Amino acid sequence: MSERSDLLSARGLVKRFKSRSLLRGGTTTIALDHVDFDVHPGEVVALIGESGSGKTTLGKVVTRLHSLDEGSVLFEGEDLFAVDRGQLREKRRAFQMVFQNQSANLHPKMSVRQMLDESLRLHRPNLDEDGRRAHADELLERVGLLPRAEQRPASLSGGEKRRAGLARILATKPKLIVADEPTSGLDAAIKLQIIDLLKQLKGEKLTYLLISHDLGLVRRIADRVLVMLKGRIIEEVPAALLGQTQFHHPYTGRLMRAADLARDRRRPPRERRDPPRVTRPDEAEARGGCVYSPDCALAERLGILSRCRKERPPPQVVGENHWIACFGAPSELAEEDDA
Amino acid sequence: MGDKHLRAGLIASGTVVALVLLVGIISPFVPYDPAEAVNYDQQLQPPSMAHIFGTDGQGRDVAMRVLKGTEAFFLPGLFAAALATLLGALSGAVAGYAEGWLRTGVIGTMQLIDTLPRLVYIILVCTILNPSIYLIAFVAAILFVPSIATVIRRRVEALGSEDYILAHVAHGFRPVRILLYHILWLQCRPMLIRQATYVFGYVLFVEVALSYLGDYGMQEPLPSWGNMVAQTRELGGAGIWPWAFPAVAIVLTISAFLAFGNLLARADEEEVR
Amino acid sequence: MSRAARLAIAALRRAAGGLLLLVGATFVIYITIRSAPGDAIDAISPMGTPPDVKARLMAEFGLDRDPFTGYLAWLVRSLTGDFGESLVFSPGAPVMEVALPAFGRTLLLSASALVVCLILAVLASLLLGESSRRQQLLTGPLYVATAAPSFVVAVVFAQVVNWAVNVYLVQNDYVPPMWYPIPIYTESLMPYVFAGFALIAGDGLFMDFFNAVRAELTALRNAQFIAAVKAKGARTVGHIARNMFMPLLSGYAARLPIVLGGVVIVEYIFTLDGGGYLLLEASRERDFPVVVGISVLFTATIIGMNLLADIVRAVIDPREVAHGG
Repeated sequence: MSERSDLLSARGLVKRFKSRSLLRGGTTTIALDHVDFDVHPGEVVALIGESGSGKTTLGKVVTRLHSLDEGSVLFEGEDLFAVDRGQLREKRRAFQMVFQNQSANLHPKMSVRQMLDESLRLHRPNLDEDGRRAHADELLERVGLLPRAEQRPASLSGGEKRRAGLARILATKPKLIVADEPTSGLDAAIKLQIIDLLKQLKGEKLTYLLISHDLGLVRRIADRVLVMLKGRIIEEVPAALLGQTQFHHPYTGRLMRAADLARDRRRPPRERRDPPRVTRPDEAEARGGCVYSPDCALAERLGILSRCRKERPPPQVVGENHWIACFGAPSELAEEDDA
Repeated sequence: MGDKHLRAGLIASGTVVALVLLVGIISPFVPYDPAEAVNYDQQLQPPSMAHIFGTDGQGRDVAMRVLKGTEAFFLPGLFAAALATLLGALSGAVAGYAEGWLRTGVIGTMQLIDTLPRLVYIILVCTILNPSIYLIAFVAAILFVPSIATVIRRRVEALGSEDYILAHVAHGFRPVRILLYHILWLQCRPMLIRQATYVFGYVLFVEVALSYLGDYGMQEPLPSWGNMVAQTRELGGAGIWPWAFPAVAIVLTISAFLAFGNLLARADEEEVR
Repeated sequence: MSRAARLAIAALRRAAGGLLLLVGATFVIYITIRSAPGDAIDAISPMGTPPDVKARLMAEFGLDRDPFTGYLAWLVRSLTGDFGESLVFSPGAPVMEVALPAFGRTLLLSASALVVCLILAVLASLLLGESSRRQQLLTGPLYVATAAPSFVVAVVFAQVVNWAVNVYLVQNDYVPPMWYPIPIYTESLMPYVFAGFALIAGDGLFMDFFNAVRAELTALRNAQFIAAVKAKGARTVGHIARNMFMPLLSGYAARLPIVLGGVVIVEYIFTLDGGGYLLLEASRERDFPVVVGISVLFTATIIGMNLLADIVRAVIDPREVAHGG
């Protein structure tokens, strides 16, 4: 799919969650359904989609925090699921994850400086104590947290916790950062600060896999956008085209409209819901077909619903670096936008 | 419980704990010959300047015997507390982290030890081996491992699914370091101190009980708080000082240790909030 | 599957687990016997035991075989209730004939102490009401007073009463009323009452119950469903009682080992003819078969109580079966 060399390349990822219940028997949820994608060095790839679409699971799989049922994850050409544990730990410093939960990146009993020091001790073994201190100061300066260095997470604000988490991640000099909702739960001003920080770091040759349903954030810093639905990637689109093109997957169009609606009406955040849940008619024929088909007005209008329910649509190229997984592509999509 | 009460409780119980530790440390350096201490001219004296806790039926200074009586349980108690805490923390961590047969095996073993009635089993061991107080302390420590391991295992299991622990894995720390440092040392320490004070209190109880019963504990004329309390049997109500002070010492020490451990754990919980 | 069937299966599984634990625990006891230094038979028989009795003991405890087959032989004999014969305490009598009645009295004493303790704890929490101030003021002194080992409480108790009445408790000529259920060997009821109160006040038992009841009551008073029940105009007492019962039940099972530890020495202090007293006397006289028999009885009781608590919990709370499996 790409001519450039890949930093991260995922092929055919499948992840199922099984819940065990002695009396009712196990139920299986498909979190990732044959997902392929690449991340090139220096770019920012955004994963968008509603809650439960499998974004976070994907993030945790490519950083090998979850196991994988099928497929492979190549990081710099090496299969992360094939290396042994020692090598994996060595590799981990090159790809780091920022967790969605603000407190999740920090140990509640350690001050920011202690955490950085511990991190540097692990990842820069040749630094002495003074060297570590100096380097920690530098990192804290970069994220603007120097005055709060001796604080524990409990006395940091949400934005400060994010910065502290970022500082620690930067200590490993990562090549790839998987950032899961880096701005969720922050108020507008702090959000902008974090976005600026991320942008600034992007300038320093960092690669991001950004997981977010904050379209504002995505438009600001992403290069490429992957849209996820029910464990599948259904569209890849350049960030500049997001919301600007007619050739969106029907589901992406709906996602855009929901976001616009929420913004325009200035509703209080509580009511700003994700688009209503999609899929059922038996999980789109037990997932043999398009997972959006039961909700898809386009398929109904085009009269291809029966096909959509039975076959999984392959990617259809609709523009430069832009494809959608939809049988209705490409020309008919324009009408859906007006509907 | 409010902050003020918490601190007051900590100071009160901490003072007693510190006092017991101090006495336990200096006691071996205080010379005492129980045979020489006997003085039949001074039987059953009430407390005075010369004998602040009075004297017992053989005219021995009760305060001195209370002080020397700490030797019977002090080091064995510390030893058992350290051993039980160490083993409990490790087996709890292993059971909480491991999966499959290792986890099942550790949990099963813990359940097995936990079904043994503690004091009854100790008396059984005494009957067979007539052991030293250190062996008794060792057995007591083993009997306490399951309750510590269960507490730690639950904590490890709960923390294992916390994002910040996952973040440490993602950051590249070794699982051993995460388990021992980030979970056990940083998060379970107050809990472990609490369990350790409990074990110490239990060893004190067992030593005192066995010495009271007379067959397996400290034997007269060597002093133990237990055999001092047992003097009630010979005194027949004649004097209160010989047994009242050691009885108070037992009650105060055990309750102070338990309260100190509990309050410390609670203070830690409230600090995080 | 019907609920009754699921319950039965869950109960059977737990019972099987309990049996397995009992086998394991008896193995630990047996290994302890085998760990005696030198000739095990000398460690477990009284001085001057005639050779033929020694030989019988060897055979009974399987000491002439390797630990595993020896254990199996001993286990099979024990499972039929045959723990050998008493050597000193009541020479020639089967161990269980001596131990069971005494142990029954111990159980009765412990169970009554637990029940009375619960009643007192409920009364105390109701009397103290919701005022946290009064409770806080009392907590410290109560804590000190009830963290005392039960046997120290018992000694002090006996001394104080003795001093006040100037009569030795155990030599008193009190005749129990006809309705009193405990078959009393020492001719007095009072020592049992005192022993019971020593058990309640000692080992932190009352404090634990008091705290548990108080916490449950506070939680339930604040619980939403109670507010809903109140809003409907119904009485809340029944709901509170039912919802308080479950947590306390598991508390019972957890505290039984503590009570059974305390009862050993308390019985000894009041010379009550129970299992604990028998254990200590037999240990002193080196009447080894009796010591082992009683140890097994204590262990089996703890396992049985845990099992019972599990099953009762499952019956009361349907979720237990559904999730606990």
